[in-house]
Amino acid sequence: MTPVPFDSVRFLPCGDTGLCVEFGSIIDRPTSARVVALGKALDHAALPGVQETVPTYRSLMVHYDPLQTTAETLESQIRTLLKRDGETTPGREGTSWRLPVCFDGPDLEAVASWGNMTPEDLVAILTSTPLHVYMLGFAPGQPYLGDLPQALDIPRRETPIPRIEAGSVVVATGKVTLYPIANPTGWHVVGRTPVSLFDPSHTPPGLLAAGDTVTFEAVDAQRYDALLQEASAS
Amino acid sequence: MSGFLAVEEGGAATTIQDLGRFGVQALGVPVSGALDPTALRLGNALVGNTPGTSALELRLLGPVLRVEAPAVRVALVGTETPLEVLDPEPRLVPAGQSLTLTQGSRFRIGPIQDSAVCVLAVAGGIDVPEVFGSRSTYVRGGMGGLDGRPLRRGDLLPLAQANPPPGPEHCLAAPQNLRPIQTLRVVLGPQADYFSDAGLQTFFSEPYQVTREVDRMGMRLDGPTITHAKGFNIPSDGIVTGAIQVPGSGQPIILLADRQTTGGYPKIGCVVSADLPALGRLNPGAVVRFKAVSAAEAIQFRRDQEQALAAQISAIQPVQSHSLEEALWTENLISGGEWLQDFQSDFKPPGSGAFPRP
Repeated sequence: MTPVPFDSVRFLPCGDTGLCVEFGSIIDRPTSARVVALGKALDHAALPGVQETVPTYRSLMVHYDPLQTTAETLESQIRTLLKRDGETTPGREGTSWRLPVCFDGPDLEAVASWGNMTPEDLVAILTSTPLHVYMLGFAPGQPYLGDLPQALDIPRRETPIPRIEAGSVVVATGKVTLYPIANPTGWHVVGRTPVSLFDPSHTPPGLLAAGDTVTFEAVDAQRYDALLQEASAS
Repeated sequence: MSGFLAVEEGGAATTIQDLGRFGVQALGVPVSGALDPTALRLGNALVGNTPGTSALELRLLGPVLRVEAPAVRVALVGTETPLEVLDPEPRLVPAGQSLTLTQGSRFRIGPIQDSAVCVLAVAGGIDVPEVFGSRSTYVRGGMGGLDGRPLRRGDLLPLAQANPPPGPEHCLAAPQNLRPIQTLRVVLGPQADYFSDAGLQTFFSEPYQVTREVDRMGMRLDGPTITHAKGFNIPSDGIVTGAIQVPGSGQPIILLADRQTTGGYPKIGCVVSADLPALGRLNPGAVVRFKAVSAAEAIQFRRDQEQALAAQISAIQPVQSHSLEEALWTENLISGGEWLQDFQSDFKPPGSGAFPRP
């Protein structure tokens, strides 16, 4: 593999069906914007053989059909796109969301004490920090949000727990994610949201998209139950 | 006219699959689809379907089905296990050929031992609603197929074609090569730089055994520890089917059709697409080695494979009635009854999957 300068774009082959276009090694919003912008440009360009693109924190996965194109062809086409459009062409403005969360998770106190603060301080931070949707991944409609203040840079669990419920709001490594379906987790559960994040029968099926902004609004258990009932009724 | 296949027994993990759900990975929705797409395409060709028509994927132990339609044409592919007609005229029909069964017929596919999966193709396909353009079942997400879950007793599978067009049955010209693959070809990366030279050396020189922790999402292997060079955490990035991630344990996990769309473990390499059907067929206990190839070579392997498959499909021929092969099957194989029970009591379900980290 040829060494490349740190800040240049890297094209990493993933077998013969994927090309990972990597914009950097750290997670920040300018990098995320470049990823999202390239994803949109590629979706628009509809290059032969490209099946779909998946934006993540610092890279774009381009899935392709090896019977129709190659990683080499795609790399040169993408280089042209990046030159033509400029890498930082902003996409559409993301949507801003306010999501109700009942902050009664089993790990709320542990996360607060890790950050040397009270649970009340933690909830205040979680409800006052506008969070950027970096990406959707892992499970249908699951958003990865950031960034929390450095004080909340808590590592993942050493041993993942086998199952948390749908709607769980979890934090780790300065990021937040919401679980649309029950799954195992290595993150810390601080709360739960009654909002359904994914419904295949809706258009679009996912509530959030990369580039959106989310602000949490604290609700008590009673309000949570009422919202959950409302959601299931509609 | 509508018709159904009625499910009398669901089998161990029978799901409806096609060639997968593309275009929604950016929303976090896995691709899914048949673990052995070659078997799906051959089976569909045998019953006169287009390659990506929805079919049943069978694992470990097949279902018991009853025809609730004037007639249905089916073909079992991807195993040498025969299809067992129970009623009205008990007989064993070898895999790799189509047969037409009429109203009230009952049939089953017993324990499948020569492959982790096989396919029962149905003329016209199974008419469940498409979700994002695919009928594949994604069980973890409760999506696609029949209510997003494996088949169970009492289910009715709606047939798109309740009476197949008349005509001869068809069979493969030669049996499929189902010998377990021993060498998986791998394109290095995207995170090969996260592994030490010794780690890479180990990975490409040592044997690895498929553990019991296998499901449609991933396959955990067991072998010499692959050492990392700079930890085992990366900012989550995209994943292709066949990607080999190596978590802190140093034991590789190969990601399969129901894989998560993104993940945070470094991926040492990715199995080439030509080897994915054979990978999907591997049973626990199988031993594999890894061989490094270039992306350009991988594409050539895939082209060769497509050519071979096209040749197999064009060689499909009408069945000679009472072929020697069928006669042999019928003579030599006893009813699968006791065999089935022994298998069920021995079988321990695999673990709950490959525990990926979000």
